[in-house]
Amino acid sequence: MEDYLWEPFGSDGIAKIRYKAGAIITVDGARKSLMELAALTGGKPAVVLVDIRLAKSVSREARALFGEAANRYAALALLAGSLPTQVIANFFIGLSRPKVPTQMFTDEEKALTWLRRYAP
Amino acid sequence: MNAEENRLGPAIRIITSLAKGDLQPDFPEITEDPELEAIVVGLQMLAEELVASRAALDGRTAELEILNKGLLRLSDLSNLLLSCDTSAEAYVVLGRSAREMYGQLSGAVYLYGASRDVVELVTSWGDLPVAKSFPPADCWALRRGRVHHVSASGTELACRHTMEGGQSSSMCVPMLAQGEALGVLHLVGAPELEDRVFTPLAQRLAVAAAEACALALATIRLREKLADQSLRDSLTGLYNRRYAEETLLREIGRAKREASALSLVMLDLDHFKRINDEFGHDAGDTALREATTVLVDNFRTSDVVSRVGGEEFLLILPGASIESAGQKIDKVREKVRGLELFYRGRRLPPLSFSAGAASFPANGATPEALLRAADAALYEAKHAGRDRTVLAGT
Repeated sequence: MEDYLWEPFGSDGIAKIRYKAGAIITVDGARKSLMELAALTGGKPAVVLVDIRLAKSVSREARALFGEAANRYAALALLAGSLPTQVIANFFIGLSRPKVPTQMFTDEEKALTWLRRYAP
Repeated sequence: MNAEENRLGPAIRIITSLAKGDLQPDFPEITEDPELEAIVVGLQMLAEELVASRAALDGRTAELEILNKGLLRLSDLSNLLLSCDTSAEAYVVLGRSAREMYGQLSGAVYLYGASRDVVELVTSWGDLPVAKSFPPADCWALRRGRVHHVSASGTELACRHTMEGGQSSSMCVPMLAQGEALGVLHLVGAPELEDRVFTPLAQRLAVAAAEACALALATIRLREKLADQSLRDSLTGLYNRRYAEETLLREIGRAKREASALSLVMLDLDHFKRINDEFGHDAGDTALREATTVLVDNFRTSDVVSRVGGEEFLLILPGASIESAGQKIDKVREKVRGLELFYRGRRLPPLSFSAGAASFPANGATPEALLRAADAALYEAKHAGRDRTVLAGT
């Protein structure tokens, strides 16, 4: 049982992945989700919303993998909620330094509005 | 302790541990206090980054140490090789240094043979069997002129010359100097090392080592070639007078030390001028080359056959008495006489030669005296009607 869900592509062309409550994001889970993203987009860089509002933690290896996989994204919005998830998001942006536009949001609408600028 | 201090206690304990150098302290699970949870999560991530940075730094330091050691060894190797006088000496140095540099691996150095259709084993080390020689086409590195690495997982094409089987990672590095491949350095990791041996750094070092060796070997070979050219006659390829005189001095010294025999033969082709005059100098050159072939084929490699004048040869025969030298010369005479020479479809007159032999110390104890005695015997042979050998003192 995965601790995340992909939402089907909407007309906005934004891929959305939502982590379930208490999700511990490991490198294996990260690898699997990236493969699924590639399958969803046919390997093309995607505009992605990652909802970690309910996640519990992200391992360093998973953060590193997400950072290295920047060529899979056209833009990345991290949707955080609680202070801990905001810390996680800021860490990812600050230390993994993805080479594509990446930003943290606490408001989903604002995140989607920002992502639409990069949507195909 | 006030309430705030009590609340921040877990975070302070983590910071204290980190400050003491313990980068993997216990990170308690905080559930009721989002601010404190954020602090603990942040501290945990910071600690993870520090651990990763330290590991990366340690790895880099270890790599730099390897690089430093490798460069020092490489510098030693280059210096040693450049101090070598001969290729044979360089091969010994190369083998020993390669063992030192790649002692944890098995390996071999191959160099092109004179014909360049085969590369031959110069030195090898380690446990794995290596081919003694193979055609260059059997090595991908030689075919492509660049490093060929085969990982233990074996997805790459293995060279045909390898005998280590599919479980080991291996690497072939062409030894290139001035755009020409001189040979190949072949390295093999033990199966249990899997793919940990040939890191990108190790590959760069191996390329540098192979290039340094190739350059040094090319320099030594060039030096040898120039030295050899200065000692040989360009028409026949025989040693020249200078080499013969140096060798005679050396061989007299040895004969003295070892109380062994030494004979010297001066040999002159009879009526050679007639061939030049009637058939031209090219015909004369052909006759000289044919006579040379007979001489070289009929004397030992320890004998020195040299051309010291137009049609004059000097033979130094270490260990030979004057009698055995005379017998040998007479056998060679038969073969020279039997030569059928043609030049541009015209038959050349049969060749014959006169020879004078002298031996150490009976006919002379110095090079000059010995040469004089052999020359006098040759003169006598000519005077007595040519096509014969005269032994000095008889």
